[in-house]
Amino acid sequence: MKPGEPIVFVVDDDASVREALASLIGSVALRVECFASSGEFLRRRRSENPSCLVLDVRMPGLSGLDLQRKLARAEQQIPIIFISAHGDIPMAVEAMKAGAIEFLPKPFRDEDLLDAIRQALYRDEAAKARRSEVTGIRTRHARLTARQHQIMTRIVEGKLNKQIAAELELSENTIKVHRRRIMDRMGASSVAELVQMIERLG
Amino acid sequence: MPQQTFHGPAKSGGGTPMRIRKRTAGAARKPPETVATASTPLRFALEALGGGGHVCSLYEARQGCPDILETFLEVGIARGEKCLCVVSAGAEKSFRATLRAASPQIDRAVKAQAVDLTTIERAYFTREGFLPQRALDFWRKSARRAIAEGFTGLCGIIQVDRALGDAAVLAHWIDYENHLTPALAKNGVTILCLYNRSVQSGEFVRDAFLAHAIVAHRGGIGKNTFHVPPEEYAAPDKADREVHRMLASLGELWRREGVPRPAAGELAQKPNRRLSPLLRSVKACKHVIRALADELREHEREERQLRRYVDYLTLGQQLNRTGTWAWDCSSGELFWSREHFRIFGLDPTRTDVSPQLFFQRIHPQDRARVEQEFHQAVHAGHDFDSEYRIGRPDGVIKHVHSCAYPVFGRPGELTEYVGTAADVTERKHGEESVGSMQAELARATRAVTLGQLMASIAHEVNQPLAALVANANAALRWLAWEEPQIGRAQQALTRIVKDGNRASEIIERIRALVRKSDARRNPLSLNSVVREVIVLLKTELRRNDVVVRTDLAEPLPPILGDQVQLQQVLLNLVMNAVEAMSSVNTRPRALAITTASDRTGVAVCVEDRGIGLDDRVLERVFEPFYSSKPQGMGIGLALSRSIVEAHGGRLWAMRNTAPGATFQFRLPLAGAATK
Ligand SMILES: Nc1ncnc2c1ncn2[C@@H]1O[C@H](COP(=O)(O)OP(=O)(O)OP(=O)(O)O)[C@@H](O)[C@H]1O
Ligand SMILES: [Mg+2]
Repeated sequence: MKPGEPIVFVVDDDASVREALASLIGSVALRVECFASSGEFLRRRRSENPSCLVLDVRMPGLSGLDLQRKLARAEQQIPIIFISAHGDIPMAVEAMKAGAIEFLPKPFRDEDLLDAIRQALYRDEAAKARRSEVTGIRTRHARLTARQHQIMTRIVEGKLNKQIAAELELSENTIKVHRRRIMDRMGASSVAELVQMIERLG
Repeated sequence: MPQQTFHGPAKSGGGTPMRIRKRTAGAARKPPETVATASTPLRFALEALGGGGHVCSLYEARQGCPDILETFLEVGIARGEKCLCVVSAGAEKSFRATLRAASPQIDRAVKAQAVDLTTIERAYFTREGFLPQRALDFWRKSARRAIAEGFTGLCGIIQVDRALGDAAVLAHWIDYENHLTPALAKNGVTILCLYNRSVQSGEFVRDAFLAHAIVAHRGGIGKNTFHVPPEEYAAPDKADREVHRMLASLGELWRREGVPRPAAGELAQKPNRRLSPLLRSVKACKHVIRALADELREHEREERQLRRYVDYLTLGQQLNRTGTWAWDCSSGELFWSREHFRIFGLDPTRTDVSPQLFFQRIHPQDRARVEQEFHQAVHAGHDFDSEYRIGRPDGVIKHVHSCAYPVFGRPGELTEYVGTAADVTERKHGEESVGSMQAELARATRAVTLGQLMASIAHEVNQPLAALVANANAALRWLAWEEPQIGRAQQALTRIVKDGNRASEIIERIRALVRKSDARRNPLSLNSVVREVIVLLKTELRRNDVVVRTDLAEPLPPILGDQVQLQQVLLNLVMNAVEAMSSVNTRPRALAITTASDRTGVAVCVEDRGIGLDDRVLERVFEPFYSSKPQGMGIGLALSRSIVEAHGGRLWAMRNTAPGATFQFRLPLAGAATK
């Protein structure tokens, strides 16, 4: 699989629905992978590529809504498009509230499904990019020494070199050197950017 | 509807006994002839009633017509009214003879043609059968004619001592009786309806009884506290109004205008020996008694009158299974009515009633709670309302519902509690047995509701349909590629064929489910199917204020069938009827279920008084997915018909002459159904 190539996962217990969806999604040149149950899907290794999930609501074992909850709890965000053989409104409301992209009653129009899939993949790509940025900040942040960490916390608090030097009983010059090292390691071009990065780490 | 009571003339509204006496004695309408008649409680009450009452009295064949007939006629004649008697065909001769022998006054009136006689058939029935509207018109016209003939008004007697007709006639009759009450109040006509209990079904007599505002029974007469005015059938606050009415009917006796409340303990200090022991049991009404006791000094007739009140009250309490009680806070004395003693299984002549005795009678598991509730209410001066069980000396456990309100003497000074205790055992048992039977049935039959069935059918069929549509779209898209993907498109088309076959297989399976093989057929009675369905739907029916009348032929020959499927059929028909009546608020929501048989088959008929069917939809209702309801699937009748036909029977719909629709199905007898 090429890096960055989007992939659509289909989870439905009905084999003929799976086959039909694989064919339909394939016909617009998207990669598809099908699973007969929620459990099967959970066992698959997560992909770094932008992806989305086309999920049946009513299935034996873990239902579609259960799977949605489970993924949310495990912080494995993936945009979900629900498909259901009976248009159950309370269910649809619950699914949408929990962040589903779309809830389509079966049978559905091909465009509705394909549009939803496109939107889902786009969202996932953006989310992944955001996430990878954060991961970068986190690794860089982890590489700071204890002393650098002490100083960075104070920089972010908006303290001047002189104040930090006094607090830590170091010379102002030492602080200046550390400050430049910290900015380098974190890849920040200004204090403002550094503050932003730390905020994103939460 | 104006409150009609035995002690308040309907037209002047809420009169006191004083006023009644003046009115009758002052004789606004001079009786045509003065006859010395002994004043009985009944006569007194009927005189007080004035024009415009709807009175019911039941009798049984062996006791003949009740004595109220005679008094009722005499009072009417004395008022200068024309009397019109409507009796069953063939009974005219004997009825006339009864009248003439009754009293010289009536005999004279018959001769003077102040009393007229006709038959139910002539008065009420037309070629189309019995129509409530026509029956109401009959009375309206007769009243007009009586006035035109120079009478002061009209009083009527209807004696129903033959079966009236089929289920439809009976339902219409009840409808008519219900509407008669307000119509009479408006026209000032008084009618006495006499029902022979031994020739009618219990349900019919009960429904007829409920339609009357006043009942006469065993020489007494009283307001019918069971009566529900038609405008209340479907009022949203129906239960509240009912409670209000029930309390009012008792409270009326205690809180009469202009009667000063006795100061605390006053009555207890000077017990009126002349009134005991009869009155001890009704000291709950001591306000009335006191007021009347004052009058006693002025009029010697008063004690008799007082007795009447006591009689009426006692009768009312028996009918309602409600006793009254009063507790004097300062002296600690407790008074129980006769019915209260009866409910508690104690001898009414006992004089040692006390709160201790009361609490002792309460079931040990409820005792502490009730005691606490009671003391809390007294402490706060609030209403007391509690439900508990009592263990009677005879070992019977009763469920009782007590309510009471505090009475204050001077502002803020609590003098006593006055309340009722109602025996709700039957209601309680009803609730319990229905609950367990429902659960049992659900287990035994695994009855799926139609909604559940439909949801799973929809799910099953939508699955291959979704696949089919997706495959077709995929095929089109594969072919639309710059380099058409013929192979992929072919695969998709092959799958389409498979999906199509699968969808039709599912539908075939559902049909097979309905058709089920004869091997599953057991001999069974449709009567039991009817009874089970009524139990299953009891809550639903009550919630919708639907009154069900069943007329089940006994014995009913068995048919061969599938119990669950036939339950489904009847369930559908009854639910449709309930739904068809849900918007009906101007007549009782009456549902009649009848079974009948002949040599070849058994028929079940479900007749409602709902919105009915017009000719255009009469056959369409059986089409699958035809529905006029926002939530309807339109599958109920289609499925029911296929079930009945799979049983070798027929299901069809009819319009009623009166409002509503009738659905009927017929199944062949067990012997004939096997082919
Ligand atoms: N007792 C009735 N009185 C008047 N109309 C009726 C009656 N029974 C059925 N109908 C009409 O026939 C239609 C079809 O009835 P049917 O039971 O097949 O479906 P439904 O009640 O609408 O929905 P469901 O599938 O939930 O039962 C109803 O929508 C109603 O218009
Ligand atoms: Mg229906």
